[in-house]
Amino acid sequence: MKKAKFKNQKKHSTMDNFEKHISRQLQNDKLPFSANPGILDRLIYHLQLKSANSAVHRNQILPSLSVLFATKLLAWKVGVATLLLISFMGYKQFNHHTSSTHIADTVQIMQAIDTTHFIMEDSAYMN
Amino acid sequence: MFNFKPPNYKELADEKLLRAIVNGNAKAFNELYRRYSERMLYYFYRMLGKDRELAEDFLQDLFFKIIDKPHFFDTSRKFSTWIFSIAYNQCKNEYRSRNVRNIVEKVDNPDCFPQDEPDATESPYRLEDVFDCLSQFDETHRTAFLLKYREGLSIDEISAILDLPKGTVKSRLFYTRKKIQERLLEKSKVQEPEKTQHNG
Repeated sequence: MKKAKFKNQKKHSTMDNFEKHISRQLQNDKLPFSANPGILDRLIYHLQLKSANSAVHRNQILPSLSVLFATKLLAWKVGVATLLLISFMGYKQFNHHTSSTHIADTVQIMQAIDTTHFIMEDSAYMN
Repeated sequence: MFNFKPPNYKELADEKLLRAIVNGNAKAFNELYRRYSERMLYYFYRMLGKDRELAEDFLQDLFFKIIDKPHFFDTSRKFSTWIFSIAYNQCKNEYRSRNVRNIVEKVDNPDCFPQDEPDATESPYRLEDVFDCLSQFDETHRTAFLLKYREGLSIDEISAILDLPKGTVKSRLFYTRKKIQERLLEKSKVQEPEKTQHNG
């Protein structure tokens, strides 16, 4: 039993040593050449080209307008438009300043008629 | 009052550099390239049968992909995991399209490493023997081996790169290591009698 255990331990330790050894060798391993510097130049050029293109797009109004009139998210757009329409209609209904003045004038006229009626009674009394 | 300091790119994390690259920042790209180009070149060189030109082409393609599709990067993951998973997929596609695996074993590449002289007192194995053995495995085994022992990545990271469960990665690593060890032992047994014959 002890022997088997010792054997296993020995096997395990050799495996660990092997792993350590391989790992050390691989990590110290270096390529005898480095990457072609032309690669970095091409990549930087590509990056600048790409960022320049995106900057031009950013300044255009047309894409944002096309988004507004596109069929994408149509339900949302219809919803927002409906809400705007409803709020506009409500605003129109509760803000009639000119018409309210007219109504007040009419009441005043009716009261004036009543006053006339009293005057008439007084004048009858006088007679 | 407003003491604006330009960012020190050498201190920035990879993920922040990538965010700057999205806005077309060349300095951030330079720094990211400096950090990863040698590592990725080594990976491609070892994965693609010591073909220097092919490794350089793959390196360029890899960084083109990073420039073109930075939005594919999942910010919840590490950048190193993402870049190695792209590199692994490139190699996988190459293996599939050209059946490189068979070619790699047969090609005698003149562009290959000058072999390091084995240090008999310190090292029982030569690194080139290890790579010879490794060339007989598929791309998943090779990648797992390189990522574990060259890059020192954890099992979690390797499983994310290879898109495999952790248990599978562990078993593949164990199998690869065991096979390499066995083959190296066999090789050393064959070489020992030859040496004694030569000495005799």
